[in-house]
Amino acid sequence: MQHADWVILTLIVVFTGWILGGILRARRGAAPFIRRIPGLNAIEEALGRATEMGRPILFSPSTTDEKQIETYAALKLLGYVARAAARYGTHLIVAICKPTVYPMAEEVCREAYQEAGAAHPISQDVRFLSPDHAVYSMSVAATIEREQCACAFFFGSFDWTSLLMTEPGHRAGAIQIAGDSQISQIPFFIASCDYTLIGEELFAASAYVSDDPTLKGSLAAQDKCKLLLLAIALLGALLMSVPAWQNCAFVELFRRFQ
Amino acid sequence: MKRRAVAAVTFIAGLYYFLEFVLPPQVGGDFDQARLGDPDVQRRGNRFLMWYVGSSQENSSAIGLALSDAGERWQKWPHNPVLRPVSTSSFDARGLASPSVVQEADGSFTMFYIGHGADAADRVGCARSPDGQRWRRAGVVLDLATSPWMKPRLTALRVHREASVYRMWLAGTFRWGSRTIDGVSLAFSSDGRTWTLDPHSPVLRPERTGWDSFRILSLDAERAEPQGYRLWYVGTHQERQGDAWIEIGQVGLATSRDGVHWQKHRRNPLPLPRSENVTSVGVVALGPAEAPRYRLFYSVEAGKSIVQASGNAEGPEWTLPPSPAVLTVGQPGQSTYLSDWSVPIADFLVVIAAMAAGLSLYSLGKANLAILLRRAPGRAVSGWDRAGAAAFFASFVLMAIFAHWRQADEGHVCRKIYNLLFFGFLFPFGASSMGLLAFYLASAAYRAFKIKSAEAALLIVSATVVMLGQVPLGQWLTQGLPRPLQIQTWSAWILYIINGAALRGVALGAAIGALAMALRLWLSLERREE
Repeated sequence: MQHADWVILTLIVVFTGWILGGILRARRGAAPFIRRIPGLNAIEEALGRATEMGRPILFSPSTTDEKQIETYAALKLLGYVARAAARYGTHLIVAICKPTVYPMAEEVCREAYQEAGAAHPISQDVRFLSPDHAVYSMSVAATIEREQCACAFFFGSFDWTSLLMTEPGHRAGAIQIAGDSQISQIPFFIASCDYTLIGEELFAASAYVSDDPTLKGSLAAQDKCKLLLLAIALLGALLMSVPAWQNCAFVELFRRFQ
Repeated sequence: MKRRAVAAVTFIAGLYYFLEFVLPPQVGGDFDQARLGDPDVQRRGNRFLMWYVGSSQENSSAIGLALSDAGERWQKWPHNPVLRPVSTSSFDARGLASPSVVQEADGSFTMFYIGHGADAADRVGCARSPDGQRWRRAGVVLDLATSPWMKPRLTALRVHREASVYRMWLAGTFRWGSRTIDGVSLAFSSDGRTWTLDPHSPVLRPERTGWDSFRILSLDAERAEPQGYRLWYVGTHQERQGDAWIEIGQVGLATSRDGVHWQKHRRNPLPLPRSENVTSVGVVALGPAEAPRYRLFYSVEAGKSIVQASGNAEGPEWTLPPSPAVLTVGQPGQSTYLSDWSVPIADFLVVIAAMAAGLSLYSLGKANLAILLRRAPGRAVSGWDRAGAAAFFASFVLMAIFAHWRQADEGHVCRKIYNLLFFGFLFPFGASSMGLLAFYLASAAYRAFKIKSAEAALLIVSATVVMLGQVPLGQWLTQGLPRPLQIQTWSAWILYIINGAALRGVALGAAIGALAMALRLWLSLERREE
């Protein structure tokens, strides 16, 4: 396991302080304004479409296991979608790739449906398909085509098999919304899905859909952290551009961000 | 109550992993507490000096010094290590290896060593000292990282100085021009700072089969009288032990008249005592009147000790002194106990994962059984669905049975059936999925890439430039132009400069978002959605 050195530790402490401070400020009533994200607005639209057409919704909460933070972001959104599906009485199919995520997804759906008062066994349908990514993606594609899903959600972390799921979904006429914090599959999602959440928008989604001031406060604090990193990058670029400053102590510190 | 218990367990678990990330596994301890090797032994009158590499538990390596009056009893220098990685410097941030010290005409010392860089590339660096004990690093002298697709992997080097000519024998694999060089290369320098690779490189290669068929791990070169050179090297091969392949090293000898053209000794590998698996070697030649002529220092027992053997290069008898281990690993530091618990905790998590796997399999079996027996509620079951469910049960049972023979002899009938199921069905299925991806890629791109706006036009033009720059056709089209105008230059600029900056920006934002989400989960600040 890698261990932090003092530079990383300092940044973690600063960022943690800002995020916790933002949360506390928001709880005291200073919740910041969050701009609209088209991909998250489209979730409600897609759910409504599925309800009107009487066709099921498919949700794929990542092809990674519980060790990845993206899986938890996806499960947060699963809870939101499950609650909405329970309210509207729409059939929700959750396709699971990793066995360790299966009980977590089942618990999220069960709680959402119980709180909405809709515990019908058909309405929530959590299916473990396969831990092999190729088999999983083909199973998801077959499920979308066979069940005639009206909309499909792909949130979390995906690999080369992403297009194997989204392209058949497009052919089946489903509205597809995807979100991946890692950039490798973003181009494929953009080309084949109707809406895509890029990078940190996946993590912001839980704050966005919940309207909770705690989460909104952390979202604003994240922007401050990014501004600090941007300032370090600009300062380092300026210092590296001047020959006399290229070997100064700050540049030596800055070199670790190569 | 349940939520509070879950929140408490989450907090404690998160605190453990946070502290394990922040704190090192040990505090204090010697720099060479885990492994030592790469000895460079030199004689100065009656005194022997050994510069060697020591590694700690965290796999960070540094260079230390040991001294001996007669070459029998050795003492580590009390102020070790003499040279360590500098955390903010990239070329040797991950560790140092293979020191080789030469004495200059003015009596000072120059050390050449391999630096393992933070960018996963190995480079040759240099340090200077007035006395061999206090060193000042002098930067990179040989950078072989010329290809963005292949990072140099260097294993050993030795430098000789004769008058104003420096010779460096360098073992490893790197890309040079259009060639991949694997083996021992030779480089020349007139000042020790600027090096030129000999065009005959590699001058010594691993064999296709045999004891040195994998790679050359370590080497030492010495001047042979009346003329020529001897190269003592550690060659390795791989052996299967159970499920794993392990690397076995043995010492060989090669001779050359010019340092370029080498002949391997017919008695290789040398029959050294206690040489079941050697990882590095260093040699010191005694005077012509002394016998035996050579003292060989080599690391054994996975780098736990360096032993010394005496013998003649041409003869088969190599003997160990009464106490053959001249150096052993140092004292470990004080454990912070956090890392000591990481394995039991990981084992506990494996048990939980196994329970989740059982639950998932039960769910999958139940769903397929319902389809097979036409009892799936709210779902029309066709004949194909039932055939698929039957195929699931059949393949599950067959694989569960025949996987027991996955390590049996290749001729065993059950092993053949397992190979058919795994390599004959599952592998081609995955390959077919990947082939299908090519067609999906084309259809998605055709549908998505339409010039409807200025940004879309810019996207299409840059994508065309990048794609043409990757293929020989594009390079052929612009081959007559100056280098800055050739399409591969523009393609690389768009891909690595423009696109690279955008990718880093997205990745930074995502990392901070992940940190914020992890904090909210750890402190149980995530609330249910309304």
